[in-house]
Amino acid sequence: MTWCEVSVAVPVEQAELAAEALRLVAPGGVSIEDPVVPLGPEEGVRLERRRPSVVKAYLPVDDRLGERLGELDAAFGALQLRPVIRTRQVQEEDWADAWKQHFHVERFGERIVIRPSWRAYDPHQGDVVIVLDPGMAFGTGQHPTTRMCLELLEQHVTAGARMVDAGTGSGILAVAAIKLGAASCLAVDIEPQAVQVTRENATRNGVAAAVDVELGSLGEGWTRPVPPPSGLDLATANITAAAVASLAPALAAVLRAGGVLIASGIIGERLPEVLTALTAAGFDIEEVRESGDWRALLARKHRG
Amino acid sequence: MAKKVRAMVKLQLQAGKATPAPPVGPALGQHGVNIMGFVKEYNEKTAAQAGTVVPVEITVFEDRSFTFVLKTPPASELLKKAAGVDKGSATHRRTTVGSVPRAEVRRIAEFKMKDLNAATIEAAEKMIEGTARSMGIVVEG
Repeated sequence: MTWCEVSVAVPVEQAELAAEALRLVAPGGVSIEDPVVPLGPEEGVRLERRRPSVVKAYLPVDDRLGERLGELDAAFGALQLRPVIRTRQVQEEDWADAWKQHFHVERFGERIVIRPSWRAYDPHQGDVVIVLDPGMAFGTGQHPTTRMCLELLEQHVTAGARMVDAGTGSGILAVAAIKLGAASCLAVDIEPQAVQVTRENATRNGVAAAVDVELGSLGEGWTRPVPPPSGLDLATANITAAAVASLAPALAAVLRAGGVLIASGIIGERLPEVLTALTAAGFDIEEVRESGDWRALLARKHRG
Repeated sequence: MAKKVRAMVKLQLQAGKATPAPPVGPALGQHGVNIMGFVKEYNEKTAAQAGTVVPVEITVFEDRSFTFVLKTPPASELLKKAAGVDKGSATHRRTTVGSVPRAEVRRIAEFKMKDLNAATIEAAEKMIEGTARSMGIVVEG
C-alpha cells in the first residue's frame, strides 16, 4: 500500500487549527511536531516560537486522493489558513517491527552481553547474556549511565552477594547482578510500571526467584525490613543526582560496614552535591567514572 | 534515571483505535520507539472514550525509552458537544449546523489553553472561534 503524506508548516499557535483541517480528510489521525529544543536531563524541552510546527496526515493513494486534497484545501480556507501543502508518497512499511532495527546485541565490560529478544547471539565462553525487550520504561542499556553501572557491577559483584537496587527501572542491574553471581536482590522503584517490567525481565532471564521486586522508595516511608539484619553487601542506585543524594542515609543504613555502593544517573555539574551527601552519610568515594555529561561512582561504607 | 529528551511528538488519534499504521508508525518509528508498546498502552488508557479523538504527547528519551500524557480533546470535539451537534458541516462555512454562546467559547479556550501553544487567552479564543466557523457553528454574542 502507498500513502500520501500531507504536511504543512505553520506558526506554533496555528498547529491545532491545522490539525483540525487535516483530521477532516484523514480520520486515522494526525501528528504534530512542535519546534522544541531538548534541554538538559530532567529539564524537558524549550518551545522555539520562531520556527514552525509541522503537522502531518496520511491519506491512502487511491482514486479519491484528488477529491480529499480538494476538501483539505477548502477546510484550510474555512479556517482562514493558507499554508503551503506539501505531499510525498510513502511506501507501507512493517512499522510494528521497523523500530527494532535500532536495537542490537551490545557488550558491556568484559562479559556482559545484552541481547534484545528478537536478535540471535552465539555466546562465547564466559559470557553473561541478559535478554531484554525494550518497553516504555527503558531502552536496552543504551544509556551511558547504565553502561557505566554494568561495568562497575561486573567488577564489584562477589559470589553470593546480597544487594538492593534502588530505582530499578527495567531491572537491568538487578538481573545482571544475579547473573554475575549475586545471591539475591531487592529491587525497588516508585513506578508501578517499572515494577511490572522488572518482574517480566527477571522471569525472562530465569532469575525471578532471586529478585524481590517491590513498589516504593528506600527513603522515608519505607517500612519493610531489608534483609539481612547484618547489612547488605552491595547497593546500586542509577536514578538522578537529587535522588542519590537524598537516599544516601538510607543506602548507608542497609549496607554492612565495607559494603559497596554503585551510583549513577548523575549529571557532571551536580556531582559535588552527591559526593557531599554520600560522605556525610558515611561513605568513602573510591572511584568516579565519566561518560559525556554523565558520572558514575563507586563508594564504600566506612568499616565500622 | 535522569534522561535527556530526544524528541517530542504529538498525535491526535481515535480513542482505543491506534494502530501501527500512519500516522503512528512513521511518527514514532523514526525515533526507535516500541510502537506496539505505545499502541497497546494508548488503547487501554483511552478505551473508555471510544468515539472521540484523544490527543497524546509522547516524550522520547535518548535511550529510546518513552513516556506519554493524554491531552485535552480537540476544540472541534468540545464545540460539537457544546452546540449539541453530531458533526460539523460537511460543506464547512456554507451551512450552519448549530450555535454556541461566546461565554462557552471562552470556557473552551481556558480549558484548552495549556495545550494550544497560544500566547494569550484572547489568541486561544480566536482559534476556537475559527474552528467553530469552519464547522458551521455560529458563535453568538
